[in-house]
This record gives sequence, C-alpha cells and structure tokens, in this order.
Amino acid sequence: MSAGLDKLKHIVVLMMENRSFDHMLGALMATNPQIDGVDGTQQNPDTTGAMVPVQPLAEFQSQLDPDPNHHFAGVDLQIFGGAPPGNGRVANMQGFVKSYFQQQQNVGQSHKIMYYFTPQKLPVLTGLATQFALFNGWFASIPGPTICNRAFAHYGTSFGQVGMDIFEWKGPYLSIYQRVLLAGRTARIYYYDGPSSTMEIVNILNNQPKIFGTFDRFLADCQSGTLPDYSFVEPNYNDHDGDSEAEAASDQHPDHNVQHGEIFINKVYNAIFSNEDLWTSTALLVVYDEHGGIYDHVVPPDCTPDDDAFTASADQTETGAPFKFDRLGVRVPAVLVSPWVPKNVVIPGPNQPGGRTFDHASIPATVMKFILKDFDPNTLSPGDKQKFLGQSKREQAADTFLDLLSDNKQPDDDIPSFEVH
Amino acid sequence: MAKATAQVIKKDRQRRVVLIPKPPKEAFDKNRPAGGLLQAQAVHLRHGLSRYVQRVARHLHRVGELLATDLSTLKTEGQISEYARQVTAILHMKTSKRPRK
Repeated sequence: MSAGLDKLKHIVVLMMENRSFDHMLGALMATNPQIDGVDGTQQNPDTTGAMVPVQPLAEFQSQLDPDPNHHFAGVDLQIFGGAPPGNGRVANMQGFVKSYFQQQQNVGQSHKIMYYFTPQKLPVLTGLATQFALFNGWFASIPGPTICNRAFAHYGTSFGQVGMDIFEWKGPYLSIYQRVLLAGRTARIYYYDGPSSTMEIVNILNNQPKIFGTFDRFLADCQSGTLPDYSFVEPNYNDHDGDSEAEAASDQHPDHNVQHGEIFINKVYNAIFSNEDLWTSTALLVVYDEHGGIYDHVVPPDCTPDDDAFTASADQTETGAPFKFDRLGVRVPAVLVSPWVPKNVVIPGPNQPGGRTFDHASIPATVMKFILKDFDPNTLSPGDKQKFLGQSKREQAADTFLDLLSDNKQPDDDIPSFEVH
Repeated sequence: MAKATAQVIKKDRQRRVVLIPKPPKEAFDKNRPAGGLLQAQAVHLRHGLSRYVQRVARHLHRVGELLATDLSTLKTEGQISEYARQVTAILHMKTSKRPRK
C-alpha cells in the first residue's frame, strides 16, 4: 500500500453541473499533448452543411442560452449525428451543432456549442488539473440529464431511469451512504443552503434526512477536523438572496456564471487544504454530472450493461429504441486532488495506450474499495450483509481511482492558492 | 453566509498564489427564468413533501392514540417502558419504516 493510501481517511466528491471535458479542459492539450483535448481541428457540420470548428471563444455567461438539450434523445443525436438507432450506426460525435440548432433554428447560435474555454479563463479548474490528476476518460454514466446521472454517483445505478422523472427506490441496491453507515462509518451530503436545496430529494432526502448538512457545516467540519469518511458536496443551484448578501449560483449549469463555480471549487479545495491533517488524509474528486449538450470529441465507449431489470423502454428514451445502459454518456471534466497525487499526471482515456474508463459508478465503487476495505460484513445480520454487499452490474464493473495516490507528497509551497482579485 | 465562514479559515501555510477574476455583479439575476433542472427540482421537492405529509399523517394518528391512552391502565414497568418507547420515538421524529411500494 502506498503512503498516500495509508494516510487516506476521507473522500470528498464535488459534483458540478453540465459542462463537457473539451469545453472546460480541452485547451490544455496545447501545453500537454497527453491531454486528450482540442486543437482546432475538431469540427461538426451545421444545418447548412458547413463544417464548424471548435473555437476558444467560450464566455462565462450569456452564451449558452437557451440551455442546450441534454435529454436522452438529444444526446443520442449529438453522439450519432442523427443516424437512427439500429444495427450498423456509428457513434461519431457529429450531431452537437445540429442538436443545438433544433432549439432556436438559429445557425449562428448553434455554432456556440463548439466553443471552449482558454485555460486562462478557468484558473482554478485548470490549475488543479495541471497540479494534480486529470482524467482523460471520465464519462457521464448515461447519455442523458442530471438526475439519472447523479443517481449513479449515489447508487451505482439509476434503476433504469434515463430522465428527470421522479423515481422511488425499489432496491435491491443501497445508496453508498447507507452502506457506509451500515459499516459503522460516517457519510454526509452537503447541500449549499436551504434555498438551493439538494438534487437528491425523493429517495435520499426523504429517507435519510440526517445525512444532510449545509455547505457552512462542510466548512466548519473541515476546520474542526470532523469531516465524515465520505462527503458529497453540492454547489448552489440558483441565484437567491442570502442572509447578508446575494448568493449566486455556483453549479456552472448554463446559463449560470462559470466564474462563480470556479470560486466555489476553490472554497471546497481551500477548506480541505487549510486543515493540514485533513489535507494529508483526504482525496477530493471534482467532477461534472454530465456534459450539458456541449461538444466533446471522444466517443463514449460501450460498457457493461446494467442489471436486466434496469432497461429503459423506447418510450422513456424517446429514440424509438430501448436502452440497456450499455453505453456511457459524454465525457466530462474530472480532477483528483490530493497531495499524494503526482504533479501534472494525466490518466489516459480509452483511446490511449494503457487507457482507463471511469464513470460516476466509479464513485461508490471507490468508496467501497478504499473506505470500507477493512470492514467485515460478517459482523452484520444476514439481511444487512446481503444489502451491504449488493452492487449493480455497472458498479461491479466500474474502475476505481485511488490507486493514483502515491508514496510521495507534494510540498505545500508548490501547491496553488487561488485568490479572488 | 457561506462566504463569511470561509473567511475565518486560517491560511498560515505558504502556497503559490494564483489570482482569479471576480465575477461581475450582473452575473447574479434571481429573475432569470428557471431552466429545466430547477423546474424538475421543484417537482421532486413537492413529491418529497407529499411523502413527508403521508408519514406525518401516520405519525399524527399514532400521536392521537398515545395522547388518548388512559395512563392509569399502565401498571407495570413493561407497560410504562413500551409507552415511553413509542412517545420517545415520536419526539425524536424516528418514524417507523414506511412500507415499500
């Protein structure tokens, strides 16, 4: 076991909203060719037949309005370029501009789906990505929207859901929080505040209200060294009045200002760094729930199908074909922050030598493998043992990521401190 | 509120400073039309509230029964302890597991 793993006590996952890898991190390829990003040659056809290249013109706000389509059928168009479901069609990532055009019938607006940020505009995310570990191959769990993708982070499955509909937990798999608690360990979901609330409402908030805390509590827990073994942090999802000041949305969901998200990522990172013991014993994963309809050039790979019971019908997918959860969603930014991660390491993606593929099912799989590794399930009742060990097929097949923690600790004086000016 | 708490966290270890720009005030607009995610969140919240009401209703029914209990009928330690268990559970909001659908 590496020294970093030996020290590990806490995993913190910060899940942001709706941005693709190329959009946020793709430009880093110019300074590090190992990063599978964009160089200006990637393109998509528009509805006039003209080819639209990626361009470094992404703005913080007011550019992706209306919100790009990222429902299952829309993402299917983005991935397959409009070819209908059936044998022989090829995923080519050629339908993003066509998809965005459908929303306003505006050719000029549709081109903006190809825009990406320069690293200078995103100093926090790109700074962390180049200081710590960047994943070339982290994908949304489903080619679809928020709720079902977030479910994979909590349960390792979405129980057959591909949309935003309400679904009641029907088992057999427990949330990772329930499993952590069964093992006598601690877990908490930190939502920003009351007006922002949580996206994990119907099943987790309804059934386990005690595992929730606010972001203020996260900051206090970091400061006092009382952070749970596993924490899941949610950003602020909406603009609202706070007790003393305006609280701007920090989730980076279009059309929220991306800079506020940068500042929020920094708050989470800084809260962990500021407690030296916590910094040494914590792995922070910053990841996005899905791509939000924004261009990425890497074809999502096929994956192990989920349980047979979790097949989405043709009516649910709205593509005319059912979905067996055998393909991942579009690639998203993912960065692992820990002083035990080698500086500027790039985890190769599925198209590269030694490539690895991750998705949100990797999160509960990782918590089970590393946080609960010493727990003996035989100490549970037979019923609880069965529940504790239950993992969806997708979670069983998911790669885990804490093997990236090494023996060598990065020195504090080389670690970036991001300060708003 | 969160910002105020963040400011009290000490930063006494030296790090390499990277400046990040401050967002413009116009970035905040609580009159911005809510997108699909927030509208879905409201639907989920209302559904969660309806489930909560169902639980509370079951709770209130039980509270009524406990309030109506003739305490003079509780003669043994076992009877008192069972009454105490049920009342304490309610006062601690530990509802019984809801039936699965």
